[in-house]
Amino acid sequence: MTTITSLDLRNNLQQYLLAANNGQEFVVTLRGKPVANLSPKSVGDIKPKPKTGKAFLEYIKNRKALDYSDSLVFNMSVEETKEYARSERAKKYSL
Amino acid sequence: MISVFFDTNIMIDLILQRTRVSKIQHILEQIDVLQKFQISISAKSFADIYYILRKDVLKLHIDNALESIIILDSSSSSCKFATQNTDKHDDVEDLMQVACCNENKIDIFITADISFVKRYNRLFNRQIQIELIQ
Repeated sequence: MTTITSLDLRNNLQQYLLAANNGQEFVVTLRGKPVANLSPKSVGDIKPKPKTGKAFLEYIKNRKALDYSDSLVFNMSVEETKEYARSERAKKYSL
Repeated sequence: MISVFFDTNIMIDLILQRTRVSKIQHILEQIDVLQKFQISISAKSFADIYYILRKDVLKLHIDNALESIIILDSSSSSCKFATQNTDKHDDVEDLMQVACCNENKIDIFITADISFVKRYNRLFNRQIQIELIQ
């Protein structure tokens, strides 16, 4: 079960509702404390997606288009992404 | 059953919906016509993907993208393989990817990293098909 903040839920309500409708469950936190569950209407009826290549192919064909072109990583090359990950980790562990 | 392995950069392409997605999709469709297949990534990639995208991408979108993907364990022998080869190749992370493919009998390795292919091609221990997407 994924934990999400109330702010995240408010800002992306429709996406979380759609995810719940697809079988995902969430714990919603308020000021760091879990306060509510968001789950499908009939949890028992939901089957997890099969881990097959066909299921993944269907997912990428049918998913909603997202625009992450403004994100930091979007325009990075493979090497730049690797270097970014390394420098971020180095920062983390030097604290 | 064909085993397809995505390098970290491919998963990032797919999650961010970058331009390479159509090429990746095309390859998967070609495989799908021939035989059933499954897609996997390494546990190392799994952690890296969340870490690299944590500031920019809604966690839900990463979760959704990984829902149908198998996460392969990292073993002590993978670590040993990676460290034993560091005298020739300095990138332990990349070597862990090679080791993961070798241990799990991967048939097709998909990456966007040309330097990876040039450096580590010979370290794959069986006939693996490498798809370089650029």
